[in-house]
Amino acid sequence: MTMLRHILLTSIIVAAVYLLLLWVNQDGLLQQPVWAADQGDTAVEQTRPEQQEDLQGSTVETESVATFESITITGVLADIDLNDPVLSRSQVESAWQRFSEHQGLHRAVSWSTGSNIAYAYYHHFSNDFSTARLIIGYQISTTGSGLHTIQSESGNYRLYQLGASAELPDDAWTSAYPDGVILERHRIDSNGSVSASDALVIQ
Amino acid sequence: MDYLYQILSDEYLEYLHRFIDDWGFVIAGSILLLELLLLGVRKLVTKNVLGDAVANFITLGMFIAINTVLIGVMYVTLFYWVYLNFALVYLPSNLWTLVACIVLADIAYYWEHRFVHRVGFGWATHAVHHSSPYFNISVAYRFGPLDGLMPLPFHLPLALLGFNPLVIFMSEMIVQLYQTLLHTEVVGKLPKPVEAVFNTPSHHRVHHGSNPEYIDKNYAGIFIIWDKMFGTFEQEKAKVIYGVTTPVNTVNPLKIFFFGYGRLFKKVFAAKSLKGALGYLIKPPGWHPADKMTEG
Ligand SMILES: [Zn+2]
Repeated sequence: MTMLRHILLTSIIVAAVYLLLLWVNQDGLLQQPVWAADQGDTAVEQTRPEQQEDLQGSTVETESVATFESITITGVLADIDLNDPVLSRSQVESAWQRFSEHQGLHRAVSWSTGSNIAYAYYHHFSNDFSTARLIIGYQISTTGSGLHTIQSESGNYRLYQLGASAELPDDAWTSAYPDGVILERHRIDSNGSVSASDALVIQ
Repeated sequence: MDYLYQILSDEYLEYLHRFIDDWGFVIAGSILLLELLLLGVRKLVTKNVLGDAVANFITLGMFIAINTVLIGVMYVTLFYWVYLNFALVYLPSNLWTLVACIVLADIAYYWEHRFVHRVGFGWATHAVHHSSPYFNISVAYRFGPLDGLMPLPFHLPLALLGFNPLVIFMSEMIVQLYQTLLHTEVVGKLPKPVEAVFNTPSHHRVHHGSNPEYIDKNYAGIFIIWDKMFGTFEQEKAKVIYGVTTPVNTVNPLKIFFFGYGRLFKKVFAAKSLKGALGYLIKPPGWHPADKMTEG
């Protein structure tokens, strides 16, 4: 009898603490950890309709001009050598690798904003255009080891819809010269792959 | 209040875990030095006190070895397996979640602790911790061979509730560290409100007492309120006589480390029936089969 009372009392306390925690975190609950979504068929679609619209459109290069507000991006940082295409490509790839492996970052974004858009922000071009700084992350402010937060520049920008290769056309690079920034947006599918990309080039 | 919702990344949780753990060890070490100093002033540092302290740290070494080789990997794997396959929901790892997890880990600790005191095979490992006739910080590091296994069934449900295993491990560590720092005679009684809500050195001295009124009392980790709720609370009144009712009388770490299971298996193998043998394993420490009870 005492045992039953103890079990009951313990369950009530645990339930109370747990329900309170669920209530506090009500906006942040997930069906599964995001990094588990990469593992296949149990993946949950985390796309929000309004964000899908951002990246809709043809995969053909198009161009338009608009004003763009500043956003906060948190992610992994890399210095890119622009003089050597082979080197810069491997530097960008390794940055994407670090980004995709940063579980804390993916988990943070999954509950706090539901965003599934990854940003690659090229900025801080050197005067001779030989180096740039790249941050790959999400629109979120969070902390974590190996993470950097940056405020993107606002201003007028050109919009490029990128093709399947997500390759930025040369003229996008030249229009960023000398002190512009490039903001790539990549929509990530529930299975972890990029389904659409565009780029904003602020001059 | 934003910081309460800020996500603690896995890397940060691991870093914080190590940070708290390391500093906890430094603080505990400093308290131990202070204790030895105070004993020295009162000329109470004997060969036995020092031998006991050294033996305590050697049992810690053996405990870590067993945990690293046998228990650790399985423990972690099991938590992740439950978390990834059966969690009701996935809780974001923020400060809210951490605080709630500490409270839940603390109540789990209470029941685990009560379990190892009241079940034969649990007591056989936990008795090592209680077998020191002294009470200082080094006693907190006196572990039995299977001490690392006992929390498993009590804490695993937290993974089911959707806590990130790293948050659970950190909460367990914080409860354990809090407990560690209670093993001292340097601190008397704390202000009444503190003693009413929290576990304190005074409450935990009672837990280590072999005085009849102190046995199986004050199982708490951080919050003493669990003992008050579940009827196991006792105030420190009479001077505490530390140790187990049948003392081990040795500072040999190997003998200390295995004495609990030694005594248990001796009883199990001497049992006349399977029921008797089983009884020794799962009944409370003082239990004897009915036939033996009438004998003596
Ligand atoms: Zn105990």
